[in-house]
Amino acid sequence: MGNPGNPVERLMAMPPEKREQVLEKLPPQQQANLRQRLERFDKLPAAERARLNQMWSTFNSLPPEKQAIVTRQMQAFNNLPEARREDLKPVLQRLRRMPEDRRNALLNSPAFKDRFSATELEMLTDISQNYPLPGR
Amino acid sequence: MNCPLDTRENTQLLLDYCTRKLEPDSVAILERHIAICAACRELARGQRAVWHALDAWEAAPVSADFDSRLYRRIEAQVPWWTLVVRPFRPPFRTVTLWRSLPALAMACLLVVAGVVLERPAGAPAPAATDRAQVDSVQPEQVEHALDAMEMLNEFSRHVRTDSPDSKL
Repeated sequence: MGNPGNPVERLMAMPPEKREQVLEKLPPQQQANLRQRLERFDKLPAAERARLNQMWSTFNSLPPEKQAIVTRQMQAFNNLPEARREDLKPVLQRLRRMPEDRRNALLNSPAFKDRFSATELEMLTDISQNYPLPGR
Repeated sequence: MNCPLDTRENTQLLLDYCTRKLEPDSVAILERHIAICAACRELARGQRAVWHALDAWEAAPVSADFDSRLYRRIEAQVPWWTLVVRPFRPPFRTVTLWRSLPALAMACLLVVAGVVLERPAGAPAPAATDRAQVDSVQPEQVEHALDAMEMLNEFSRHVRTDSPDSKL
């Protein structure tokens, strides 16, 4: 279930006293906050925990500059108004499944340029290029 | 009807209309509105253009030997200890056991050698090992990984209708 590369899993695998020693390196308020987050993580069902580990693993395998791009654009996507997100969601999912050449052609097509703002096009491009759905 | 662009629920109605998910009754009502509303007409036109472009692409079919290639790759990634212990898993299969005896002997030898080599006089003191274990994980790394998993989870929840709602 655990992902040995994931620092969260590495910490959770430690004996409690060693885990405490790691947490104690932080200021008290930050420690309390991190303890709460770890407790929530620890209570997740095994399948859910494995799913999160898998997503982290995929993300962590990206070079740092791509991680930064994906983080920025995913945060922007997550913060879109719900209606707009619903509008972009199916388009983004289709783009993430496409081969690169086809995806680029679509993203540069008049249909897309008419329908989406420059910021949205950049978001669709950055996420679908750097965080595609697993290939077949 | 009120303009769909004015309310969240009706905006979804308009998007469903463009993807032909609406019931005929709702389609008729919406089309009457679209006929008199330029903004909705424009949104529907744009949305249809996008779907038309997307529909022009079809994912390549999965190849006939996809499964076998997948299983070969999974097999190739099996950890070495699984390969060592696998022959001993089916209980009471003496033929397999006999064949596996050399591997078992080798495994035992490696374990013994490991124990002997890891315990010389110069081996790190337990306190140093403990310190190394504690230092191997920095709390900031843990926070960073949790931040990433939370962001990825939220994104995944937004883009997939069937993904579970994590309590992370």
